[in-house]
Formats: sequence, structure tokens, C-alpha cells
Amino acid sequence: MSIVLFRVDNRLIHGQVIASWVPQLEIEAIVVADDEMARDDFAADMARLAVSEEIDLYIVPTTEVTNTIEKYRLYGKRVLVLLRDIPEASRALAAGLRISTINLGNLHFSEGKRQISPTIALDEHDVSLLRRFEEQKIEIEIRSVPTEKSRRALDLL
Amino acid sequence: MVGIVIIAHGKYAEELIQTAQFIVGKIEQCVSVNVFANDGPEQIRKELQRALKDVDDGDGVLVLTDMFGGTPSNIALSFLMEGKVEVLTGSNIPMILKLATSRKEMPLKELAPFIKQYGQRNISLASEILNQRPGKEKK
Repeated sequence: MSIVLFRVDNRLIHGQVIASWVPQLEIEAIVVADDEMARDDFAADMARLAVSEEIDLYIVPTTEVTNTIEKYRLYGKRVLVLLRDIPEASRALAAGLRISTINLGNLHFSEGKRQISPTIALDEHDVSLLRRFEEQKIEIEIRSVPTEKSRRALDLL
Repeated sequence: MVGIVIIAHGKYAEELIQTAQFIVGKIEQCVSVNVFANDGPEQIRKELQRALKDVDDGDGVLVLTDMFGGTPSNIALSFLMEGKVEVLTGSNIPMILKLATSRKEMPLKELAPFIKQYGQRNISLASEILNQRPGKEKK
């Protein structure tokens, strides 16, 4: 599998991703799997400008991620898949994506969520989805940038 | 007169204004928005909206950010409106000083590209400048 990083981040494409993860992991293609961004032409245009030209960028509806990887033959490239939140990540995985690790980047606090680390807040639904991923032998790590120490998310509950 | 909002990661925005004011004195219609790691986008958007309202007297606002592609810029871009709100990324102190002293004369449409150029031109490599001095011989 060429998905080098499967990252859940409320901020999707932003500084940490562009300046840290992409160069350090030598990412060659980015797939943003997000219904909302796929509908927002302006946001998509801005994201394209922010990502350097040599990196292929695909902004598609959440459940289209597997089709996108197949259609553009991204196997064999180093791919970053970005999801907005844990429920969207679950939808992407249900659409047939196979990964071994989920990276949790920035999940901001809102009503009903509990802040479990400086950058991660989860609600009950998030937690039950994460537990289900772990049952499927998927590792869940909290790591904002590559040089940070990786921590198992469910250890912090 | 064009209003100024600076929005950037951490306290960069706040410090830029403080430093600029240390050099040129109080800058009117100028506010900062700090963006921290655990701030949610909706919260940042609301703060920026309030900041824009605070500094706009009808002549529009120039929003300065730290880095294109970063969250402060991404959110600022959603307020982009020709003639009313412009966004300038990669801001530095020379830009802000120039802005403070030249915005009384210029409308936003002129001011924005002018300040962009000024900021770019005021990035210097010391050894390049020294080597350009008239009469200096190359060693």
C-alpha cells in the first residue's frame, strides 16, 4: 500500500502538512477526501496554490478516495490521504480503503467533546469509532508533526 | 483610511504590531488576531470578523498574514472582497512600518500591491549589499 500517511485534521491542508509532513515523508500525491471541500471551488483553488506544483493534489468526495487512487494509478506513489474528522475517516475506510495507521493531527474542541491532549478533542462517537478501528488492527496515533513522539490515542482517554 | 488586521500563528501578529509601534508610535485602526494550535476554525473566523469590523471605516481593510497555506491565511482568504478586503501573506516589519506611514494617501487597491512590493524589496542579504558599494574592489 502506498498510503504513507492517513491523517485526520480539522484544518486539512495547512502549514504543518505543507511544511512538515509532505517534505519529510517525501509525499508525491495528496488526496483530500472531503465532501465539503470537494464542493467549495474557492477553498480547492487556494489549496492548489498552497501545495507545490510537483505534488499531485486531488480533492474529492469522502467516499471517492479509493476510486481516485485507482483512477489516477496512485499505487506506487507516496500518498497522503487527508480527512476532516473521525466520522469522515470512518466513511472513507468503509468505502474500501486499507491502512495500518491513522494519524490524528488537529481535532478542535467543541461542545460535547473532551480535550484529551493539547491538539485532540473527542466525543463519545469519535471514541467508539476509534475503538472499532483498533479492533480492525489499525493503530491510532496522535502526532502533530513527524518529529513529535507518537502516542497511542486511546491511552489518553 | 485603510484599516489593518494582522493574523498569524502564535503571538506573531501581536508582537509585529507591538514592535512596529515601538518604532513609529501608535498605529490607529490596527488590530492583531493570534492563532493558537488548539483554536478551532470557527472561533478564528469569528475573531477575524470582529477585527475587520473594528478597523474598517469604509475604506476597506488590508489583512496581513504570516504564511500562505497556513490556517490564519486560509481563514483570511475566505473574507477576500475586491476593494474591501485584501490579504497579503508573508508579512514583515518593513511592510508594517511602510503601511503605517503611507496608507493615508492610498486606496486599498493601490496600497496592497505597493506594500507587497515594498515588503519584497526590503529583504536584503548583507554580503550582497556590501559587495555593491561603489568603489569597492572584489577580493
